[in-house]
Amino acid sequence: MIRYTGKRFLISLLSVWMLITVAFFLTRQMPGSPFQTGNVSGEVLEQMEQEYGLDQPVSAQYVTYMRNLLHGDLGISYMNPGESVTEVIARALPATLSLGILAVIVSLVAGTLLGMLQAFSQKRWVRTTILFGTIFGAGIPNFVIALLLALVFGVQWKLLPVVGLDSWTSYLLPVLSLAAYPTAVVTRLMCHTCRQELQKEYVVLAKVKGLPMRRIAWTHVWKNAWIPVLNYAGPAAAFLLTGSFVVESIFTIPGLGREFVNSIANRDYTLIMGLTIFMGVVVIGVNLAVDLLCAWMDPRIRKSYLKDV
Amino acid sequence: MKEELLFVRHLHVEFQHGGQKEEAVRDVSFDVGCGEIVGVVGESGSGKSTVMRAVLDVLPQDADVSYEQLWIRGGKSSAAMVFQDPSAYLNPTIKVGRQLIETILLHPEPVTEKATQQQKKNSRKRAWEHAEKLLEMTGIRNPEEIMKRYPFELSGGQQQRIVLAIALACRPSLLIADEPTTALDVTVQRQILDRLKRIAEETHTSVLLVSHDLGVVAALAKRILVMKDGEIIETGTAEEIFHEAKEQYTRELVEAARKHGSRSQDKHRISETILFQAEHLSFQYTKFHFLKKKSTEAVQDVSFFLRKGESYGLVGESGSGKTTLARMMTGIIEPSAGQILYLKERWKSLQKGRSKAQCQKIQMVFQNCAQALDPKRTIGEALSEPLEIWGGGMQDVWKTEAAEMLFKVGLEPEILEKYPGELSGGQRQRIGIARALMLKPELLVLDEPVSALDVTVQEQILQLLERLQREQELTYFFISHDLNVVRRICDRIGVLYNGRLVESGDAEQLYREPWHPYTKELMLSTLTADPKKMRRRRNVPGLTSGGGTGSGEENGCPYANRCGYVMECCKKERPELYRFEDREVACFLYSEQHSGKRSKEYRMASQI
Amino acid sequence: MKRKDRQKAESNFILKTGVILLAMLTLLAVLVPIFSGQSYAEQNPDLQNLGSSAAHLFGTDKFGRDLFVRVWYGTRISLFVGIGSMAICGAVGIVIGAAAGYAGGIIDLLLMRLGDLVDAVPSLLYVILITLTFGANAGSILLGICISGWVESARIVRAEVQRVKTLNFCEAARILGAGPIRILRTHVLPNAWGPVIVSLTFFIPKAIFTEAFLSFVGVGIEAPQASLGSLIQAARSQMRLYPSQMLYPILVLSLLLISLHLIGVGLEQKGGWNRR
Repeated sequence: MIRYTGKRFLISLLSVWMLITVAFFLTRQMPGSPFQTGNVSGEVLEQMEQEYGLDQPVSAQYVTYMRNLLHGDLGISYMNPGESVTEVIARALPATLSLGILAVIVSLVAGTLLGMLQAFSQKRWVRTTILFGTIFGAGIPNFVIALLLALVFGVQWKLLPVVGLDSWTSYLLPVLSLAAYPTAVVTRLMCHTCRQELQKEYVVLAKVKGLPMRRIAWTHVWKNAWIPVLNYAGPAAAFLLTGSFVVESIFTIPGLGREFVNSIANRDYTLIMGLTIFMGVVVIGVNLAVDLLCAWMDPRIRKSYLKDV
Repeated sequence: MKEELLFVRHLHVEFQHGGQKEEAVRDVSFDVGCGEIVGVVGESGSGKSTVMRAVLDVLPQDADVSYEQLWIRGGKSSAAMVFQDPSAYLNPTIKVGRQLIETILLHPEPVTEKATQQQKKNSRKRAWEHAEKLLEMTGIRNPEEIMKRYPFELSGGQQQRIVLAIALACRPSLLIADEPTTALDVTVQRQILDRLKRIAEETHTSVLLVSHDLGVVAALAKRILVMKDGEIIETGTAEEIFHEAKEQYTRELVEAARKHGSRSQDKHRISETILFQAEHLSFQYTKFHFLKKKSTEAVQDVSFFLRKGESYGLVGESGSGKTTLARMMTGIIEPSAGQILYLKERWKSLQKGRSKAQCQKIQMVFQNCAQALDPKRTIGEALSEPLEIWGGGMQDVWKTEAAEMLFKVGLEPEILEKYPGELSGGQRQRIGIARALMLKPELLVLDEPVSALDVTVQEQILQLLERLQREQELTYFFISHDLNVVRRICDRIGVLYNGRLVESGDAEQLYREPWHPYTKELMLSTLTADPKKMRRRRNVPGLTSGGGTGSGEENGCPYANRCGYVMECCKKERPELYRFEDREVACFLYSEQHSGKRSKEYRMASQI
Repeated sequence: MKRKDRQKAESNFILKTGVILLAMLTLLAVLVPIFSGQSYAEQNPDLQNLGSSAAHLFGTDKFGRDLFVRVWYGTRISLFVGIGSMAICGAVGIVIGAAAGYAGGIIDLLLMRLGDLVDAVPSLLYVILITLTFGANAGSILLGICISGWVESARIVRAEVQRVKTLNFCEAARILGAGPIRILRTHVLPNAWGPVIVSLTFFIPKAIFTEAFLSFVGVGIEAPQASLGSLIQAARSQMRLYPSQMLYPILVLSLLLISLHLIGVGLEQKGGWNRR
């Protein structure tokens, strides 16, 4: 297990490094400097470039950037020189995090339950409804759902707030639009793995033993079917983070996503890069954690790695 | 008059596939008395398992079950079942102890009304104790430790014992055992059957023993039902069925099973030329673990030779390295040490550039006939593939050659247009043989060619192989776990244990008088389709051990852990092969040094 | 009818609906920009924010451009990105997966670790960086999607090849003297298609979503070209006044994605029953 962890950790580290390098060099190639837009004189421009270290060769900039990164310093925003990227993240993270965690919980719980319902239900209409629900949930893009929800509940019916994150009611619409797709995927996955597990012979033995179907579902099938679902938590985290771009813009929530979209509009390259790297690291971290958790949950994997050590 | 426990009258089962009905069980009536062991025999597709599943109500949803009467004394909960493949029937992610205890808690002891709170409180602890008792009953020596393990950490025999314990935990009055030992090695099969018998006697449980193997049924059952095409065609005591069967089909079945145990009278020419030699072959499985190699040895230092025109049989349990050896011979894998000589010429593996002309000489027939043919290609395409690869001739020629080959293996030419999925197991195996013969090879490696087939079909395939050998002067390297089959067709036999050749010699001699303790164990575990003989069999020391996987210590004899004749030296050193004329045996019992008194001139006989 | 047959009929129905829907959308996307007189880019100050009429089926936008043409033009781009990236990623994935699965050993290890490396980062981040650097057009989006898009199909192909490779008929072909290319072509790939096709079908909507998402955020297809995502974004500011300008592209985008999901689910279910 130690070795497995080490191996996984190394790959994650490499991924992070690759992301940083790609992000860094691509950003240097991006057309247009943020300072060229205004009516700034050549002298001032030079001074500003010097201040940001842009007059040095790219390799030297890279070394400096990496060194700063190791101290947790992601640079200073071009647009808003008073604020460092780290401060932006610290300011915007709580909103995104609370939305994201809520959406993860909602999608895992609802997806698992719906998936099991679809797999075990004897009623045809239940299965068909859930099936088409997953097709719609996975098909309709998150920003469309967010827009439609805002239009219907906020603008037409004026039932729920569509701006900011002031009360618990203002969480409803953003979380719903973020969680729709992951819920559909988890449902589909859960139903699929449950059906596969139900085909297996150990279910027959459990029936012969006298276990009622309900208990077979909850003690035997559930655990085996859930491991692949857990594996999806990594991609889900990626989806939720990027989904926050649009959902936060639509519902005007002061989170990472909105910062990111604004920084793109402003061509604020340090902020784009800093946020990209931060989100990449978060997703890689979640992937790593989920991988280890899955390996630990499945005794076959756990034991095979224990033996290695 | 005996008391009836299970009572079945006019049972019908139908399956539905896409609007088509398929009758799997037709008008089956039978009953089982208290404490009786009833055997059910029949070939695959005869509906044996379907009947058993119908009795327990665990058929898949697309089955239609109807009956006039079907009852078990005490209800469905008083019956339990043991299945063919134990590894599939245990939940892989739950410790076996929990799976067993879960069952015990579902079937509490029939308690008197005075059952106090105290007792209920202790139910977990009592269940644990009961579980240990059950495991001991099924022959597991260290139940406490085993219960903490996951199914994949146990051997096949141990898994089957767990399933048996789970079945017993249901406190059944009827135990249904559906092919309980088919997936296991012969030696383990024997141990499990002995256990089953003892448990049935001790707990006065009735057993319904289902098997395609008449030997298994002969070992245990007092009364036998014979099934064919979904019907019970004959019922009788074991003696009646095996010695004075009324039905033609039953007689054929018994005869086919018995032929296995007897030597074939077929004469084929064996020349003195040595066709094939394996010298010190070893193979290590290497796995990449993050750029580091890890290796496990599958075959260790195996040497043997094949004369032109002879049949050499290789026996050994699953995991002993038989298939690995076959794959090295055909060149699929590269030996990690040792070499292969064909007519004194050194041959490389396919990977290292075995030439096409060399490929042609050695061909292989596979065990799993469902896997041996590409499901997406017709039989015609499969048979003409070798010719296509060799690029000789035109497509019409391929077709006629394929049709001729079909005739040789006893099939109709219409089959050419069919897909493998439409054929029966026996037909597919004939195709497998035909494909191997398309390139007119000299040596045929047969990897368990009949073990997946029914007894009567087995017999047909063996006869086909004998005929082909006579006609085409083929040399066979015949791999099997079944000593009976090997004895039937082979001139010489080698016994493989844990990747090492432990004994080899003339088939008849070796069969009549095995020398190596493992060969003895194998021989005694082999079942014969004769209830009278089965009752007279004796036990060997090795047989009672049970459980142990038998892999010896690093440097010692691989069999030392299981051997009943183990000596001090067996654990420290590895015995070399001792030669006595045609016979070779790797056991210290036959060495001058360790047994002290033998000399080369002395005509050797079994020491034990 | 029994449950199995009903499910089979159901999956057939799903598949058929998806195919018909997709065919209709594709047809419109191909034909409308060709045969309609209007241009997608021409602005007309006299025709701003019109409602639906015979001349402008979906009305016009705030610059007076015909929305009907713009929506189908956008659908065309969506389809181009979806199918194009599927084709590229599929081809790359199949080659890499087949090579890794068939060769095994160190080649397998390196290729698959490379996949892990690329796949760990959300692909949208790469796509955004690339469109920012190389300009906002379909080509950049395609490139961005393909950076990590091949990994999934490569993993599936590898697993299938590894499974099929060990089946006896492949070994039999080797013993008969067949070379690796021949075995891959005639035996391995025909038996490995099923799961690969299903995964590639699901890949198209993912790519289309990515493009629409980026255009919505403002880093996708650049004006005056129309993409469904940018159409929705453009109409957002007038959401209260002219909701129909937003709803038409939303409807088409959702129908497109749903039709592809229907096909994917239908294929998946069919494949599942065929195997059993």
